[in-house]
Amino acid sequence: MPMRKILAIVVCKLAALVGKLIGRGSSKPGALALKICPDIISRLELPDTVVAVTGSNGKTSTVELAVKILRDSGRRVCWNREGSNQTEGIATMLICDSTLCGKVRSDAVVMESDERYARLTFKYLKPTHFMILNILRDQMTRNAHPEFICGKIAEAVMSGMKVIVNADDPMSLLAAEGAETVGFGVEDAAVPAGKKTGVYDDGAYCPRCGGKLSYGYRVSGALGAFRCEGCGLERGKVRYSLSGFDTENGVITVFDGEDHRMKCGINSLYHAYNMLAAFALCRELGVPAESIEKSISDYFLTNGRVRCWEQGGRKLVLLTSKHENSTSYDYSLEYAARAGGSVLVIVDAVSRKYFTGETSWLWDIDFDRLASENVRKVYIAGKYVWDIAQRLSYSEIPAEKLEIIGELDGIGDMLSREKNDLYIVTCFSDRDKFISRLPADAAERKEL
Amino acid sequence: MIRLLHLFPNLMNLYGDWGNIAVLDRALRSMGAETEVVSGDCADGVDLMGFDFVFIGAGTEKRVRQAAERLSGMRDEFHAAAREGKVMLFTGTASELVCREIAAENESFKALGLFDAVVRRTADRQTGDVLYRSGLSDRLAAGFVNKSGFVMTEEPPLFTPCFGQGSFESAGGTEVPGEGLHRGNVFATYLTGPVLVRNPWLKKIVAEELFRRAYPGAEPKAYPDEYAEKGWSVTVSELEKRMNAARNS
Repeated sequence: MPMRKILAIVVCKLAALVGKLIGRGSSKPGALALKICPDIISRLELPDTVVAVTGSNGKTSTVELAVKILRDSGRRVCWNREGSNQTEGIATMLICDSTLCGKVRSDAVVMESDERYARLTFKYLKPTHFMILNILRDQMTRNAHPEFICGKIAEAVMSGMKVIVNADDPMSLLAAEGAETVGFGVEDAAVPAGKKTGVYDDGAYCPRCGGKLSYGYRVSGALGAFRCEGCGLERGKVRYSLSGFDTENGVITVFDGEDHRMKCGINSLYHAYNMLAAFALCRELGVPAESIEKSISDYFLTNGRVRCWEQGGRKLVLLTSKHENSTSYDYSLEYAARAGGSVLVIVDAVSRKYFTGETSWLWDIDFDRLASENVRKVYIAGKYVWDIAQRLSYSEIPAEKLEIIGELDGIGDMLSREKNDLYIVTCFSDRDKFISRLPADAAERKEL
Repeated sequence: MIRLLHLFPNLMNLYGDWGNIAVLDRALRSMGAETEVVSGDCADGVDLMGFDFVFIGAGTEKRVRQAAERLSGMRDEFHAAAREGKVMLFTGTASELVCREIAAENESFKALGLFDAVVRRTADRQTGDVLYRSGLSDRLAAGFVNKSGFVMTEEPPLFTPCFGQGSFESAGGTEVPGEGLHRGNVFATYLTGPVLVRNPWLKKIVAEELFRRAYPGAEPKAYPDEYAEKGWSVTVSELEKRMNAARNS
């Protein structure tokens, strides 16, 4: 058996090296290792700190923030930078960081963990800390629905692990029921002005008993100070809270017994939530608050989800969102509408990982946000442009503000005509198609 | 006046279900009808006979149970409405509500029983893009299913799957080609989400029936539907490519 373990490690390391050279994904080497030695992950010698972060929205960004904090505090951290968050990707990550004998070299492992696969991955490695960010409508084509995902995450929760949970989210709290939990959440005073719910209300009913939920205040969608009139499920206790959010200046205040003020690298509630989650996690791992503030205040994520170019005297801001995830779109549209300028929405391939022609999720997005006077023009493009056009015809966006570009090749012409700042809202599957059509004189900036 | 009832807009709402009512309402008004849309999560006191169209969208398995409970006192009214020719559409998991019984692993419960059919819930899920043929039109129904159940029935199906998952199975548990139930003006299908948005031809059939019943002898105005038609063409064309590739492989 030891030979099989060593063989798996060697093959994985070699495959990862080849993959790196030819620019391929990061799950294949782990898949090979698992084929050779199915329990390779449990045979590795792990550090004392193993963190898994799951949830529908914010995993990659929260993990990047947490890794930045931990590294700045002097710890050596192994993490799945590429976001390969299923068992195979996690095997690759761990083996590439280990010796040939299987000892993980880092002081801490921080992994993004797929909502459905966490329960499978945890059979081989049990995290010391498990963070549940939120359970929302997301990729229904593979995730079925939030209640289904809640059940899958609940199966991953085990005794002996500390669960750091979004106390504002009924579904996350339900998944964590029975575990030792630490809560984080947003206080009323920190909720930005404006719409709290979009075109649907997933906070209408209790996910546990089906009773009516009432809210002291809403943060966003089903998140907020909720209480079930039927079974008493209510917002959890909060150890770390977002107690203030100055949206004018993009400054948040996190409270953990004392106030800590930090500048948001991206001025949005979405990013503030991720910063709060990373703060809570790292405080639980013993990092001093001052060190956290220093690490992530005004930190601009390097994961490429938000990118900015200067071109012709205006900004082009790419807001990579998740197709099949209306919350992600709503946050991006809200950001664009607040910032002001024009907006381009692209839906060409619904997913980069699998085929689907499913566009029902467009009807869950609150496109009315683009009716704001701040938004000059709304362009739409991609294979599914007619589905977007039909959806937008049922929004409050005035018809004269809308321009249907059609196929992606029309984007170049639009970019030459449009002189305002432009916010591009699209998914991982389509973002490179936009980037490849950028004008030659577009210069990337490292800030917004 | 054509009155449209959207029952359980929050309780039964997986994604984009409201689109069905929105596009139907606009189509009817474009045809020259006056309309009123009423929606609510409480079925108590609702007089079905006062409406021309009833719609329930998809929900989670737990929510289907709750919806069935809330509708339990209205079985007779639903049966009377169906007999009277009221147009009713049940999409996604709401289609289970028209069956006689829903049998899950640990429980079974009664539903409206508009069709002699029983749902057998499964531990696994069946999700995916689909293309269906029907006797309603030469055009294909395109969409998506997201379910964990099969229907056992001798009733004729609404659709025959050309690509993707169907929902009928024999008493022996073998899958047989068929999806959805249809009798008179009652339509039930596991197709999920804004089904009428994505299939403008089906919306037209439903709208024309509603118009005909409300305004006997009147001619409905034609309405523009360019975006919906083009969207349907793109989706069907993409799914046909998939279907052909699957056949060839």
